Amino acid sequence: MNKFKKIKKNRTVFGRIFVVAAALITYIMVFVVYYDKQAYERMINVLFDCGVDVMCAMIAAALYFGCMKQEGDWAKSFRMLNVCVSAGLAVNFLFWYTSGVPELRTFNLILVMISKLLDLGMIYHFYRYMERTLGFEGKLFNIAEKLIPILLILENLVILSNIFYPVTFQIDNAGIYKATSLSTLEDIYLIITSVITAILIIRSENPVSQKVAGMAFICLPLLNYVTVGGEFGNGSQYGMILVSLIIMYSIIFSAKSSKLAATESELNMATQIQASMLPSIFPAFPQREEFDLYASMDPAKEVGGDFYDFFMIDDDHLGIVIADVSGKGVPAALFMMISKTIVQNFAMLGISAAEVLTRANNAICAQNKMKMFVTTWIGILQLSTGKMNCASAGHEYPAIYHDGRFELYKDKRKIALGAMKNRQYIDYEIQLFKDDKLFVYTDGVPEATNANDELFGNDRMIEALNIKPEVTPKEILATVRASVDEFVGNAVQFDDLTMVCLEYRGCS
Amino acid sequence: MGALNINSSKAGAEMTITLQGRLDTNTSPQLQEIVENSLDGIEKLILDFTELAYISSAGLRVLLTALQIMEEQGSMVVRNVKQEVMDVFEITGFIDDLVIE
Repeated sequence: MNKFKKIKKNRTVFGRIFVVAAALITYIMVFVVYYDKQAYERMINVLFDCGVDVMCAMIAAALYFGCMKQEGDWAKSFRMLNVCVSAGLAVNFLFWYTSGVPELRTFNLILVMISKLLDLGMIYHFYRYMERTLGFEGKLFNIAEKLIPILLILENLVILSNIFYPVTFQIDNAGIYKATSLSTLEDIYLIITSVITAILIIRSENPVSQKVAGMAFICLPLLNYVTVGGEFGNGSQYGMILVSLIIMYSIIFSAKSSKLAATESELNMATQIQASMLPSIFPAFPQREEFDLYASMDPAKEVGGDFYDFFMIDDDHLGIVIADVSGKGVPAALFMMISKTIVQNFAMLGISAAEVLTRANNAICAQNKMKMFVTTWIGILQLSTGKMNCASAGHEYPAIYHDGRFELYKDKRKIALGAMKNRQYIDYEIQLFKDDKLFVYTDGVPEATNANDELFGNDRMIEALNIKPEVTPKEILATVRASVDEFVGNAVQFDDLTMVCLEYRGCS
Repeated sequence: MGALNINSSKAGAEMTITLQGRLDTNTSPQLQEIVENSLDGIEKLILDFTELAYISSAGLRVLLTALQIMEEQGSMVVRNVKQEVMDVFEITGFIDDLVIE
């Protein structure tokens, strides 16, 4: 997993280096040509083309950097498109520089080949970018998804075949590029892909402005081809492509970005709403001397599916709940809010823990279309006696601190809430003595994963709890958290991390 | 990141699905698709977990979907469960509701 990330990270680094290098090469070439009198003479007719190359390579680099921060596949395609264009420009300039020099024939041939391969890549990434931003569908799209990659490979082979035999072009003895009679072979892929993409763009359901922006990439070069002619190495062709890239950037790209920004702010609000649902003021019951309690939740995404809850049922009973919804993100968060409310409502009735779960399960099952479930642990502590009536719906084992050590308490459980209708959950009792503690958590703790795909596990968790088990609940959570963080290292937090610790101080 | 290989075979109204690898958030949609689309007319579903190394809560959800479908049209059996997966079944309480052979 780490290797993959490294390559991914390197790819953006390479992309940056690539576009900057392309811009620099074209720019430096201007001076080379200026001082190399022979080259200047040779290139007098194409200096305009080369000027266009320089300018465009720089704009392509600027565009690349402009969209570097954007995430998502569509932004990736757009960046790849820019890399292809900027590389094409640099190669184009070098092509002109080496053109007409018999000694540099081989070099010239390679440049032509690279240039043509880059064109193929460019068309492909254009198609991908359109597909990812405008969202293609239908039969034609299914055909295109199979046909275009096949054509791309074939076309690559056609162009590479020129190494062995002048199939579509050759560099003659004077070092001049000449297309052969079969040169139209090179255009098959280009034409088919462009036409298919154009049809898909027109058919897609998008604002007209975005369709027009997409079509610009096909139409502007075509217009240029008709008016100026399609000679290989013609710089104005790339100029047209770049203009259309800028049009796409300013219309499609910004439309996409503002949509994303809106979603992001809504997600932020959801995060706040969710956070405000959990009791978060500590100490929670400053007037109660019988116990101390601390809890924390760190969602892996903006909103999570874990929750904890605690509340006084009556003057002598404290209810504690911890739960974990299957799944992540907004659906899990919505399910979590429903479950939390239902569980608390039943707990407030003063019935036993198992009865709370049994009733909550049936209530959740009754409205569970998404087939989600929530593992739940509930404990009802009688403050005057230290007796804790508990029940578990498929939740992680609690850990109990007694006689100077935390140990896992393997309780009896039934399946998670929402999974199966009409299940009878089982009560069990834990007797807490003065200074005993209870630690409950969600699977984000034991299943925290490091870069080597190893799990933190229950053993490490118990070890962490026993580093300094006598301290306050708040400090216990901090110790466990620190151990998890140390273990996980640089790996991404994959699951929500939620913990609750209760210390029973006995009845005064 | 582990992968998941799924093999399924049908004999009349009996279907056997063999899983190899990890059934987690990334791979469970593969099984989800089979469960949603291929169980029509099946009266006995056998899940062979001989080579299933890991199951996450996303995997359990698919299992639950299958279980609910099969409760209506027949029965579902899980076979050859490894200790790691069995631990998950035990902790999550699935052990009571699955028929494990």
